[in-house]
Amino acid sequence: MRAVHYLNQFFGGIGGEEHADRPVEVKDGPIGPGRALEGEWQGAARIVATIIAGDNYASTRTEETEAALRTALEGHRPDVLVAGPAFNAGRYGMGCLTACRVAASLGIPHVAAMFPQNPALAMHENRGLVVLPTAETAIGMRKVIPQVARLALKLGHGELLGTAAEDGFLPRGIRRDVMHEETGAERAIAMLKRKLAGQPYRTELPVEAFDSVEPAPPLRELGRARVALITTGGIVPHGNPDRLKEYNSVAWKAYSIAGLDDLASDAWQPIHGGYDSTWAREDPDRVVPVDALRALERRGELGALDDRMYVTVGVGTPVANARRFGQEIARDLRERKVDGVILTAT
Amino acid sequence: MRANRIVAGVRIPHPVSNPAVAKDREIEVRTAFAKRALEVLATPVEGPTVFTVDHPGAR
Repeated sequence: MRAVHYLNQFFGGIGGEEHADRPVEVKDGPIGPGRALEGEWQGAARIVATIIAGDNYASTRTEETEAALRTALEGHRPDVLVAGPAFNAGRYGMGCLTACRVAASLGIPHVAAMFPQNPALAMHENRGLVVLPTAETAIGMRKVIPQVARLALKLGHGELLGTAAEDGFLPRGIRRDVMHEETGAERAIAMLKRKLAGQPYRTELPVEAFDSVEPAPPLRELGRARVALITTGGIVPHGNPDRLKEYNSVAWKAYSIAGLDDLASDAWQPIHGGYDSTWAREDPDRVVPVDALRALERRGELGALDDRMYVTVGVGTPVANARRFGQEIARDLRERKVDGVILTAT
Repeated sequence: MRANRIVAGVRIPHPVSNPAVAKDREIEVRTAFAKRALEVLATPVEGPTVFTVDHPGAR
């Protein structure tokens, strides 16, 4: 079996931070951690080439990096691409996952390894890649190399991956249909019995964990505060000009409510696929209370109602998308010097 | 539930209003929610905290 390995300039033996701008280069055979991988494989697989890129280059010049990776992978046509381990190094992690994305686009199986909180894993485009968890630093090298070697062999042989729990990689948010002898009801009852008996059981549908957020300090002077409205209730201008999706949201929009006394039902409409919109169609202020806040603004009970209303549709939205919307909207709010936000959810 | 300041709403399809209230009085419900939300923004919290609105139409 033939593997290609991706490393950064440090693990690739070129040097430290002073070489972080080095462009992509390809060397024959294994280097550094690649030798340890070959040791594990004991002849079952070999590394035909090692692709090395500087951390700065790989993390900032994505297009050039992708093009160079594509050329290298098309030239070598390996059975599997191995990337890292990158531990908690963010730029290295980005390089590794770029390599994995390019491999995936060419139909070449891939496996990377890094610390589960590596910032590269938070990036939207890196969802769904096969990544083994590691310790935070290279102290974890010895432990993870056998795992990487095992999974690379499995993938390189064209075997189907098991579940994340079975094969030890980070959950990818992918569901695969499988046939069961027992119906869902029978399995649920069996699971409940094990739970009641205090025995170990495993859910088939884990609930996604949410981040904790440090509470923001309270507003000091409401009479001087600029407050903006956000809604996940899908209230959009009539006709939904931006074609926001009714469920499984992939975008948010900001709409001007400058000078509006309320959200008139002939100008605004709900497009949310997750609640009965009868009442919101009659009066969209029932979901976003522009009328009440405008009146309070006139009475001086808040400094200003911001001109922008931020809208998305909160139903079946993947947490990763929701997190991205939050980050993007927060950036916009900060630029607009908004002090506080009222988010209405349906 | 991970939002830190939460005002308990009326119903999912009309979280800050109540169509069961007389049409000309419904704005009072929304105003009560808007005022409460502003007060809550000015209130310190340690972690996720649920606040209620003291208005007969707010439930």
